[in-house]
Amino acid sequence: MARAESEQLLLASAAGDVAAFRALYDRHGGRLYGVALRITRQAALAADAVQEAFLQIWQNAGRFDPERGGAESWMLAMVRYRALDIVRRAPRDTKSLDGDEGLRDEVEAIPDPAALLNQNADSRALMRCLGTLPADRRQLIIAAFVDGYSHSELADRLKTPLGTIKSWIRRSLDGLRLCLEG
Amino acid sequence: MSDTPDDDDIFTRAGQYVLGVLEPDEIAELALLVLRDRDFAEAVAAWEQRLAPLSRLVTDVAPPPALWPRIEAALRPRPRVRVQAMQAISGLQPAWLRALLRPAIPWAVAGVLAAVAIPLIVGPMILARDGAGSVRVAAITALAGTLAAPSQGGWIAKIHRDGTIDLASIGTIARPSGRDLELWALADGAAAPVPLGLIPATAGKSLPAQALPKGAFKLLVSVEPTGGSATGLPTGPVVYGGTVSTD
Repeated sequence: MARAESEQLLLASAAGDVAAFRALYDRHGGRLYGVALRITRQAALAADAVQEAFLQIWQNAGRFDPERGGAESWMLAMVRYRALDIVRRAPRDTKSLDGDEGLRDEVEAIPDPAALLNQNADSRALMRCLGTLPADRRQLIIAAFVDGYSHSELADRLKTPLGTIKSWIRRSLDGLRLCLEG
Repeated sequence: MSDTPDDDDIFTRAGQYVLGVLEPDEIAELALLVLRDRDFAEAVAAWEQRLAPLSRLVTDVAPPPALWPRIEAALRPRPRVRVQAMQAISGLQPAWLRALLRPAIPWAVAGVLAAVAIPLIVGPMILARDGAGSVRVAAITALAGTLAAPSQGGWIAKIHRDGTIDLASIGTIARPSGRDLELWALADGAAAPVPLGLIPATAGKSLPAQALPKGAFKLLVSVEPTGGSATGLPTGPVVYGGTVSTD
């Protein structure tokens, strides 16, 4: 199983196996770089986020706990925290993508949650539970995760009071958790 | 309606943290909580798992070809904590070492002695054997009043450039039965120590460790349940300590 293979590669990386670590990068680099690019909107910053995350993954591979979740979720979280840290420190600048239409298309495409239907059981369960939220709240959660918008950025973009945004996010998270655990 | 953290249970707070909607000060606070609080860490891991499928809504983009070489060049062997028998020293037990390891010596004095005496006396001996560049050497001694029975023992820690730590035990280490001793590094000015690993009961064992603080730091040894602290922070008393000075 692909997921188990990634976990094996991560465990081998924990033992210092650089070839296994490279295999892990080859296997997940495209998704992780895509996620970082979407959040940072700049190729150089996305590369920095992925590099920092992979060094962290290498250093902490021994702490990966398969009981808590899959290898890809764990690595994805590392990349997202690095990318979010970068954009929280320096405001995002989408102009740098102007010369690269392919990249711009990638980071500006509006995600369609229906894509989750073709994926694994975890994805389908999340899709089903997102479907229990009102459409605008669903888009809010997706935009927050995919684009890495903070509460205040969402409030600015949607011209909605910060307290309202926080309350919507909080209730949507509570709803998702109850649905996914139920 | 208030937005203080107290109003949200740890599941909601963890969800906000993983979703990525929080501001830098909130993120910093919760990143520390992940290390300190096992329940919160588990709530965060659960959200990482739940929300991960959303990453499939983002198109994969091949990383630039130059990225892997950059990563590979930055990989360093993970530092390790090695415990080595140092027969020469434990057999000799010179007077200065006995004095240094006596539990009544206040930590500060031990630190000064470690900074001054150990590099002068032990350093050349170790360096001569290794023929290597500079290593930092520190004495880890029993902290006054922390152990039920006074301990004459301790360790000489040799800190290599790559972060590897060699621990040489000296004398008798007070090791509470059914408990493990865990080694920690506390950077000067840091709020919390980072775990370096359990100290094996027998010499010759090697443990993976975390990157060490860059400047001066303290090495601490705490008493932990078997298997070590589950929280990422010392849960039992800190019973041995020593200071590693800057180069």
